[in-house]
Amino acid sequence: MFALLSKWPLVRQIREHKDGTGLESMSDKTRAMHARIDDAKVARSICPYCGVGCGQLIYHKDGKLVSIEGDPESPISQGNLCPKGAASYQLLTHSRRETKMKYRAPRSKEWTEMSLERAMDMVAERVWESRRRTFVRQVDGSTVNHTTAICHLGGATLDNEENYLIKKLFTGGLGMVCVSNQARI
Amino acid sequence: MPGLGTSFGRGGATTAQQDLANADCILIEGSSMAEAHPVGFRWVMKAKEHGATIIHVDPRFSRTSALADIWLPIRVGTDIVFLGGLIRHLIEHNLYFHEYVVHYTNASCILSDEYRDPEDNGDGYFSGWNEEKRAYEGDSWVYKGGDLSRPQRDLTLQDPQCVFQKLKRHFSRYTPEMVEKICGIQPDLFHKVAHCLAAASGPERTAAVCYAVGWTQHSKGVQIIRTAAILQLLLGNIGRPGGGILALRGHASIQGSTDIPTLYDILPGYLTMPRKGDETLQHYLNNYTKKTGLWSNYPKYLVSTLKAYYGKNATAENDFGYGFLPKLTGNHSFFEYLYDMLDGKMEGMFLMGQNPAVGAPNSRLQRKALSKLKWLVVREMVEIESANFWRESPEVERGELKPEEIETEIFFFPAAGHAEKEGAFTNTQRLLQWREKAVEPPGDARSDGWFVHQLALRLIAKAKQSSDPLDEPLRALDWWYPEDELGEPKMEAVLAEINGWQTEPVAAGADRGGSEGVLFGGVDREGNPHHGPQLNRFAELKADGSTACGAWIYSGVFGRDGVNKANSRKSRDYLGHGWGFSWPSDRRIIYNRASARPDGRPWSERKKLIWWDSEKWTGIDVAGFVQGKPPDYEPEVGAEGLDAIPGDAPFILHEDGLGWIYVPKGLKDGPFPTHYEPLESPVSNELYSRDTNPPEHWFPRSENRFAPPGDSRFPFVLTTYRLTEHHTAGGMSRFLSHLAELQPEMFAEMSPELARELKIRNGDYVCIVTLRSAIEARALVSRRIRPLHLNGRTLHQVALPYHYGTAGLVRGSAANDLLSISGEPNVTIMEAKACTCNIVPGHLPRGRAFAEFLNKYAPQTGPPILHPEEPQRDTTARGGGLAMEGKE
Repeated sequence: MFALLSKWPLVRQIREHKDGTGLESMSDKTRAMHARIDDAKVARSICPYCGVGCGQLIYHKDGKLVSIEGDPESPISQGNLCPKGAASYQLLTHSRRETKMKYRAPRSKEWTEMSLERAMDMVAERVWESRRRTFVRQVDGSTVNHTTAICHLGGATLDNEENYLIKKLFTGGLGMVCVSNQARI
Repeated sequence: MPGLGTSFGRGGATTAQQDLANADCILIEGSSMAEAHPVGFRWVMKAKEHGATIIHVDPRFSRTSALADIWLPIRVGTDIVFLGGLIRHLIEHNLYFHEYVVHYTNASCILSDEYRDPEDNGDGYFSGWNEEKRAYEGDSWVYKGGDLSRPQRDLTLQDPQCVFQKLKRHFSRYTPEMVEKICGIQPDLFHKVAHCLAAASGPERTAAVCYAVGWTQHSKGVQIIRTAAILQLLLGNIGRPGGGILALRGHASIQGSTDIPTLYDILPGYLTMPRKGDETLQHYLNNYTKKTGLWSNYPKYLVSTLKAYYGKNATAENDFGYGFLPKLTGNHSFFEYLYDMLDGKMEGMFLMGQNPAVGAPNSRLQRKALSKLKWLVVREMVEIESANFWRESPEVERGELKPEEIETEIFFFPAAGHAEKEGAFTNTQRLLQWREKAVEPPGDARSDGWFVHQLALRLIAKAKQSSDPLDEPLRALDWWYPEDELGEPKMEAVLAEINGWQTEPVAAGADRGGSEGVLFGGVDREGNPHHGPQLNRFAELKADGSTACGAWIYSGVFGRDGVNKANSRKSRDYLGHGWGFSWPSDRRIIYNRASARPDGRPWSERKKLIWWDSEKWTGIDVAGFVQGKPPDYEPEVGAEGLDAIPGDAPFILHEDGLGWIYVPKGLKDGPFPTHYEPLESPVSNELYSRDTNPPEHWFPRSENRFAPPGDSRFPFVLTTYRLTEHHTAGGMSRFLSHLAELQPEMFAEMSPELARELKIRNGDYVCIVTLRSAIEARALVSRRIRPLHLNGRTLHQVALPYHYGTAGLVRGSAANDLLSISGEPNVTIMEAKACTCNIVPGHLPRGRAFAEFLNKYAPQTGPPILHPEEPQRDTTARGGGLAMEGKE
């Protein structure tokens, strides 16, 4: 009984002669509370929006995102994020995000679902056929070995390593010359 | 941009954002930095706290202007006149940094007698114009004698043929009165700015310039940046603390996506893509290798790239696989192939993180082009307009496109977000910063790296079963990457390849940081030894096939110690050494030899950065100079490579080691910047009889017409801009409730004077009309935009955010529907920041009534060409615009 009573903050305040503005005023539940990032793991990251390159700390637990915060150690952003950077947790977790592979057949009015494997096989097939149909060996007697009938657009939101693989496969392997991104246009 | 590349050597920001805090004056123009790069702007504020003067030149009074000391409203597209006026002012009043200009720039170089300036005949053309080809032949633009590596110089700057005298004459008519007449800037404000910049020049003081796409997206975007480069060279501000030009890039890796390009005309590290006629490796290397300066190493960089692409299949016997690379036959940039899409010549397209249905100019035409493809792959986190144009676009609503008639087969792949994959972005200051993976992507979402890797494995497997010679490059491709459980390649393995290694395999079996500095044991997918130790710097590269390197400028990011420096997170100093890796060679301020006097001592204690300590270059930053080359070094006659660069020449990528006030080679529209009006302008050119940039690509087509100068049907100037709360074409912001709520609706910003004239109240719906299309927006009537008074007339400007589209939580018209497709001569960038429009109060008619409305205000019939300077449609005129370096 006494043990139970002593948990009552009012009793604690009287016994400890405190003014009720410190820890003594907290219930056990409140005292046990902690920041949701306390027991989360952290990945060091960079904001995906503009070119400033603010540092981000990405907190995650059990394979789920917990929170994204500014990295105070970044010499550029010193812990700050703008409205967009501060919304990047929502960017990854919002309900309108697509998580299923979708396919639209010619003349169709609807999307249909498709497995990733099947879609990859079909895309490889399309590339293979288009390239065969349109590959040019020579122009005016000069070797060109290219196709101008398959194009790529994008890259400024991608990682350097991804862009490297794109250029290596598309240009170095397939002979695609129509490769472009936001940086030019 | 070649603007920075041709002026200084490298197409990247010359300084770091943090270094802005050291500036005594900052000029922000072509950017609303506080709104579009808010966190970077804190360094401008730091400078202000230290007493720096902040100047903002922009048609709109924004939060950047509110925090600046001086705001100058300007007519869009007239920046060269304003900056040229400042250049004239500095020269006329002898306010330039004389010692810096004489020693570190090409002001003293003597030009060829053949060179003619637009001032010479007043028509706006340089010498070498070929009307038939609509292009310049730049032979007359070179230095006297034609040798760029050893120019004749007059250090007194008095020779009438020297660059300085030509510059003086070139800008002689860019007076404060002319600035007022053309830009609408009042002379007293002009003088105030001129005074601030001149006061922040010299050994003790520096000024910085910040710009963004408000400068680049013009028909003379490169030349606007060139004008700023000349200004900064005259003021002696390049390569010094608190100085420089900071190009503010709008995406996380705009800089990275040109360094390691997804662009048609360059290979990684700004190597030139081979063109038709570059038949053999030797032909090619002869064409692009320079005799002197850093580019004398071109063969080492190129051969190492080929070794990275084709591995052991690249041998000395087969020209290191040079023949596997495709050759260009013209301009293959986006706008060029867009017309091929419209004409049904393009079969397939990959869209990865770009939304042309909203984000590209004349987006009405963009959506039509998408509907002509055979197949389309879209990789995105949400269903953007470019993925659902076939059922939700304005054209479907208006009956112009019908889903049942669109043949395009579409594959929508959900993409992984930035926390769901590892890899590096290169930010606006050339800084590579690594992102660690936090969680797995949800459902079918995968990284773009996964997609390319999985596609490559399938195609290479097909090629290995084929004996067709056209599959030879695919069979030769070195696709060795180890992968994780999801089938995604290990990105540090890719980074190691980008960094470079010795090609002789080492079977070390060592893990990261192992004795040989070989990552993942250097073992390929079959478990065989794949490569040797990683390289520490690009100086270790060889042209004999003994090294491979995916992007020479990034070499050093992942060296022999096995430490991924893009992921280093211990900043040691204000420049951030120890945090990330800044290319080249972790240098934070490039061309920093210029931070010391010609004799090697710092210009001043206050502005010191690197200096000569009697044995080597040392200081706060990594020296951008040969470590042991003394300041008084004089090259011997006939010296080659870096040995040909004197001890007091900081711009070592140039053959003469000098900063180029005048660009003798490398630009398509002139060695000096010259004012031309935007392609659509309410006025004619005050300075020359030629209105527009002569070699501009217009992309004539009936759906892409331009109004002639002063067309009374389109009396207002239109410009576009970015909001803090939205991001580019909206795929990363319009779908998020937090951001959507902050900027919920499309609007058009206009002055109270214009609103009164058109009887529009704040919040009313209005239609904005150009020759391309019409859109709807709410009127935002605000004194933030002011009418300009120029040359006796009042001119109104209207500004539109460009983020909205038909998908997402907040929807609205796409401003890009109104813009035209055009191509700046050097980089084929469109003029998105200046055109003419009309404003009609009321709602935009929906459905089929739209066509009638548009036809009333912008007749869609009649000749496709209305502008007198637009060339007649000629497909052979398209192409040929090959650029050395490109950047937003």
